[in-house]
Amino acid sequence: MNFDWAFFWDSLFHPSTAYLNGLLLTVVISLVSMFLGLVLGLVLALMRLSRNAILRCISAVYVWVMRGIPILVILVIIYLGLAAAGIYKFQDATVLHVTIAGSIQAALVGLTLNQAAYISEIIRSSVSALPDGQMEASLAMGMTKTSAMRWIILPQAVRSMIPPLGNQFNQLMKNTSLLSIIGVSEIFLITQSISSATFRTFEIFIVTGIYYLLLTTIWTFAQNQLEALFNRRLGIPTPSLSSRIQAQYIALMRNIKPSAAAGKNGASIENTH
Amino acid sequence: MRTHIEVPDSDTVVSAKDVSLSFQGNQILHEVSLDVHKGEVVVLLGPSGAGKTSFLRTINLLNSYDSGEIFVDGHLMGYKKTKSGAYTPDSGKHLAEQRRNIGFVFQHFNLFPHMTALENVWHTPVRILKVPKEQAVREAGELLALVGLSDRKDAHPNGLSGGQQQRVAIARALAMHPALMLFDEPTSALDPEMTKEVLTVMQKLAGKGDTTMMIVTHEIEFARKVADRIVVMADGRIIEQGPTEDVLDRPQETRTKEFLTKVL
Repeated sequence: MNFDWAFFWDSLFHPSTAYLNGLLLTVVISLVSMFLGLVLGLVLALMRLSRNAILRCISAVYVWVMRGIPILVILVIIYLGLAAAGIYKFQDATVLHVTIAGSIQAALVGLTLNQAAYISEIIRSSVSALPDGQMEASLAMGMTKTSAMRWIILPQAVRSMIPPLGNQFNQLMKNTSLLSIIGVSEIFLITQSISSATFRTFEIFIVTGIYYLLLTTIWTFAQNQLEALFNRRLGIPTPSLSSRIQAQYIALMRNIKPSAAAGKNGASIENTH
Repeated sequence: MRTHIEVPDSDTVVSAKDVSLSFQGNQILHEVSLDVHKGEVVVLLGPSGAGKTSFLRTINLLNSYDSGEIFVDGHLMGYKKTKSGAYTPDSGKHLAEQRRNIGFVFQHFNLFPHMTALENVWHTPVRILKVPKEQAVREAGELLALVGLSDRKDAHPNGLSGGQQQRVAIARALAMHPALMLFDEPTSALDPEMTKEVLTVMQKLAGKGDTTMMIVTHEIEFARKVADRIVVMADGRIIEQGPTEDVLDRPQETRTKEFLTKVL
């Protein structure tokens, strides 16, 4: 096997500035398009939940189209397609002394449009899953439907939205690698260029894999903290990490040795047969 | 648009006239008419499926109705009075304002689980009525004391027993200073011990004499203690009504007698 360990460790622990910039770009693009996707997704979800049939229809069609087309195709249409057809060309622009490349703008637009479709479905299903009694109680207290949404429904729905939204963000971070196709110098594209300059394809892509894994792992911890935060707001105790591991272990032992781990509970279960 | 409507006098808190409601081909309410006066406690009795809950929910328009009129505190529910004196339908902001005058206590409490007991009580006065927060929180504390839950004010609903949740729900409704309190089977989801604590609170409220209350319940002994008037419903109609003891001890209608022998 031809594996350059020195190159691997060096790339992993002393990444170049270009590499770190790529990593940063990946994170920034993910965060910005997640934020914009949440805003647009909320609007789409509220449209879908409204009593107005036209708004419902627009939202449903949007979601259907955006979920049915690969993000890669959307990105190419937005950045290359629109420019080729002479409709719109994304130009580099300077905002607050920071120059944003046209390709990055196109990437943000494409990812936001795509994310919003999925996010709106997550928001809609979380809202629909709440018991009807919550809306009824809000109306009976004299709230309008809008106030009820603002104060009662959405704050509760947020708790059940966090796990699927977290997964969505996780997907998004990984999907930013597709931006390499429209020339956004995020971490995947940088990795490709390192790979073609050094021919150390295996090593450098493993390094990049590790960095993606690092990002998604950090996010998993952040997501757990968010869940715990909202649990506290609902007065639900969040099991600690050690007690969760303990529960996993007990469940695992039960599966392996049902007779040994069963104990009192096992006996009572057997009695019911 | 409605015109030529006679507004009930100011002593009449609820005035329902010929309220009919059908749902999926079933007639739930048949031209139900009922007046409830200021400070009066009316208990609605009757077998299940009689339309008691539907009628109660129709009063604050949680159910819509097909025909008839419902006035609460002199306002035609779900309609806005125009300058010309005619009424136009309004199911938005205006209806919301009308509902603020009516407290509703649900069978399943429906507390807001993302708020503490105290927050449940002060939330709507502060966010919707724009009462200064300090004042609303103080009042919420007093209301929780009234329902005997001062020590649980920082608990979330899922940390409270059913009876405690229902008492918070009563305090929450009272915080809006409603002209009318509606109770929809407030103890049906509770076991006997908790039923008692909720009924005690309601009795205390009724005893104060200034709260107009309509209560749907199956607790006959409780009805005897608190009700000024008993209204018996069956098959979507009011079949008998009158002073509490008359209806409970000397019922006139056969179906009332049947119902009372079943539940007593």
